[in-house]
Amino acid sequence: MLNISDTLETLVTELTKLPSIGRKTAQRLAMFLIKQPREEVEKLSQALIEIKDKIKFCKTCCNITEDEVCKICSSDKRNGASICVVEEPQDVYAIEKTNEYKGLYHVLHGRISPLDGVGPNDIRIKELLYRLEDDEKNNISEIMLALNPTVEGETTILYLSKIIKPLGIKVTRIARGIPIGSDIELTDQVTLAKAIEGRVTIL
Amino acid sequence: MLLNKIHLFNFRNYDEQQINFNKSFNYLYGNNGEGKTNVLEAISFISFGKSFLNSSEPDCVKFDTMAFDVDGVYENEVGTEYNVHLNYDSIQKKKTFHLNKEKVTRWSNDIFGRFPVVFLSPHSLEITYGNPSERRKFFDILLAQTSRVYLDFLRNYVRILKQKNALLKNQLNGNAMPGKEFRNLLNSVNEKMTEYASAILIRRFELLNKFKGYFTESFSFLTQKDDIPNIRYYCDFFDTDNYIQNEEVITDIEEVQKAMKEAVERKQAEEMARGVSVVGPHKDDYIFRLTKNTNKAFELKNFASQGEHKTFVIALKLAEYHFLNDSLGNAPLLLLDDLLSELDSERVSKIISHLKNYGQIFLTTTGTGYSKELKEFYDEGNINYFKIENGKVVD
Repeated sequence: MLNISDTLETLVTELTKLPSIGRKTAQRLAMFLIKQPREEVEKLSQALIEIKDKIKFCKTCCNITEDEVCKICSSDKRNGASICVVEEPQDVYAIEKTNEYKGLYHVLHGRISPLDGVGPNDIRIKELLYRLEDDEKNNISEIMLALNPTVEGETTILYLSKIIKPLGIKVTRIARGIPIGSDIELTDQVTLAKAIEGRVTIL
Repeated sequence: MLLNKIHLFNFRNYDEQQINFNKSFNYLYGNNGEGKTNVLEAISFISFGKSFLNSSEPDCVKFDTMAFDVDGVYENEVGTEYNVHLNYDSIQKKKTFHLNKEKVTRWSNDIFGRFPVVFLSPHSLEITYGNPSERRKFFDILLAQTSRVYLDFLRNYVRILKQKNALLKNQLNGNAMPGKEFRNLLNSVNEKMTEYASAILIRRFELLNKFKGYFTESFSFLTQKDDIPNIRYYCDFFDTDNYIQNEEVITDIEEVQKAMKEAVERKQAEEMARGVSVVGPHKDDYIFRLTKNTNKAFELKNFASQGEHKTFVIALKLAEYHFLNDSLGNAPLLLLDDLLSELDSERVSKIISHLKNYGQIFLTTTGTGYSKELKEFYDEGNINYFKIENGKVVD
């Protein structure tokens, strides 16, 4: 293909580095930006620089924040006795939207996966342990593991439960089952089997 | 299930070809290399999602073209039709599947086991001659079609096995993590692996127990001799023989878990030194044995004649047919690729006389040699002959 402009080419190459952006999409985005007024593009580039300058990881829970300690960790309305462990910051937002969980969070920023070269020390497990060992002032009574039900998520759950157990803190994991509003008939067989396995007594 | 018709487009040596099949017997003949087996392979694509002959999709795209399409119309017992369509695009390297014009995203959930097919070809002899992996594959596919949960355990097991091997290898190659983390992680991985492995083993035992009945029946039909065939499940850390003799299904998953856990502990030093996982169902085997009238049992793999191998494989495949038919409540298609040329005429007549007990049959052969025998069992309306020449049905 004829290379029209090196500048365009650089932008397209940079855009393709983003997740789920292929070359075609990158080209479309680049062409869109070329047609935008200068102010719009400046706003975008400013926003991009600012996320690097202003966004940090919370000292306590490792979630993304603009302060030293995030809003959830510094709130006095949250129940400090419970920590919900998730893989990524977006999982925090998903759980927050439910408005049902009032405890604190801990974001691991990944899952253990030796195939991808990710060991326990490559995700924020140390930070979690630090919080638990510092328990004098925190008084944590439950760790709730809300990791993805993949092989890697399951392995991480097992690893965490092994190292937290000796500390005498209750470790739970969220249940797996049939989505609300969906039919049993339409649920895939593996989810259904897990739901049967995790059935609860009602009387 | 019945396959009413198939339409091939740029598939192997076919430009474009529609074939309307007979509901009972389809006899495809022609010289070698003209494209008989390709029709069967296309059927495997729309019912299984891939080739039975393990060919890669790019190999199936007609030379000088970019994509192939296979369309099929299935019909169930009550006459409901299912339109299936598989497209492989060699530029995007993408396979897409449509069922009744709707795109299928969860292949294994929506399709696997729905259009069952039993495929018997000279390649099937790999089951008895080949590596243990061939035998595991035969039984795994059988089991996965009847249990989606098994398929999920199997996938998870394969994944955790890869993770464990990577963990052991990284530790060996100097990418080591501190000893305490490594131990904790290895223990976690082992525990998860044992969980998946024991779920797999329990289901494999159950399957074998059920399957053996079907197998013994098919085998005794094929041979007059008093040979008694047997299939043993060989697992390094768990003695399955007791259970097989009593014909009882072991339901105590904890017993299997405990045995594997102990084996993993025993072999830990070896695993760490070699950087590879050596305990688990990926090491297991199915052992085929034959007890002759001399009362001497011997292992098929090492001591059987070619004829005995063939009889064994055909019996396995016929048993597969009946097993799937009963467990899915859905008659599989029976694809017989070049099978009869491999057998003595006595056995051929026997099989042919038996075929009317099966659902829809697709048979490929080089000549019209068996048409005489077939006429005895099939009326004219129940058999279609297709002469295949250079990627075309000519007659």
